[in-house]
Amino acid sequence: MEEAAGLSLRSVAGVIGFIFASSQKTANEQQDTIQGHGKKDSAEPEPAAASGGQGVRGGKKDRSGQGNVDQLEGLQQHQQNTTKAGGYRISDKKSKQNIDNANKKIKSLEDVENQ
Amino acid sequence: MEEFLEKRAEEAEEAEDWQTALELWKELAAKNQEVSFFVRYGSVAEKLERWEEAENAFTQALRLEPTSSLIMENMGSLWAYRTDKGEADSFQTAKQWFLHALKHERNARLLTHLGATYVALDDNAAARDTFEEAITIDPDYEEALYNLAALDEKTNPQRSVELLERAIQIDPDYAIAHQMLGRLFQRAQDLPRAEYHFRRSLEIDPADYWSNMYMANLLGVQGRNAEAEQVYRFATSLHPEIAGGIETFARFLESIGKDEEARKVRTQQP
Repeated sequence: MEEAAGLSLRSVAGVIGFIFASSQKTANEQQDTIQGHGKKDSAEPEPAAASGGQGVRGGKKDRSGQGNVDQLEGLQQHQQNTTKAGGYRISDKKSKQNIDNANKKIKSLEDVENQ
Repeated sequence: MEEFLEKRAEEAEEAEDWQTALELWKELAAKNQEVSFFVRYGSVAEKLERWEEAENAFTQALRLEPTSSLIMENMGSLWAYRTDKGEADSFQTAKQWFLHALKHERNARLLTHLGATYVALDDNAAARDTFEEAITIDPDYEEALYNLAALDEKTNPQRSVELLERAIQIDPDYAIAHQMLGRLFQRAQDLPRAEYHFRRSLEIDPADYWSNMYMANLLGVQGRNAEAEQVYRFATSLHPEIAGGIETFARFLESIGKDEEARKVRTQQP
């Protein structure tokens, strides 16, 4: 149990690390760009502009308009997989409700055969 | 007497008083040995996560009606959801039950369940074939359309959009279909349409964490920082335990020069 919890925490940390490693790279690229233009004196890295969704990447306007949509989707899928407590990682809610509705209509053996 | 008990059981189920419903369906099943009561009993036991009890009830129903596709489908669904057994083995057992059920009947609902099970077992090719068959049988089965779109989201976004647009024609309030359309249009750089679908998803389910996060990200991309911040703040208040969401929000705040706010957001993490 503890081992499973540890694995789960490690995998969460791994995904977050992966997502933000790319953001940090962007931040570093941005820092290079800005420093190259002599606009910043401090050695402190620039904020990870694109990582939160603002329309700036590498010191340039993000013309893709995507922001973090892929990273968020990766995080969403990871979250759904790691917190899964039974059931599917794809949609089945409607089909599940439809079974319940079919169950409620059963009144006789004949109904069971016809559902 | 039986009718009175049945009525009470129906009312308890309607009121989501699962415990009372369980006791009543169980009593009716034991007294009458009828398929319908065993199925209802099993279904409510499943809702209460009383997995063994649910399995026993469906087994009793199958003993009375051994060729019922619906009871086999119930059994498959039970195995897909139960959490008291190993996940891989449970999905394998679910698949076997759905395949047994298909020998007696092929319908879109059953095929959608089987397709979802194939996805859980990482067999996307079989899942695709199964969802395709579901929409061949019933072109208006929106959940099969959605699931097929999910399989195509990265590899064939154009088809994914077409499938989802069919799904929301059938059910305009299909929130997760709107959410996926929002992502697809954002990737296609059609930001107004992306926003429309994220907003529709939030109209249907205002407290959906991921739709709020996608919306906030889209607003941030457009430089609508005050709105983005507000939506991020709301989303992360819904699920402060999702560390990746908190970090996304903090990074956004840093990107707009709110370093102190970002620090606060990170320290508020549970």
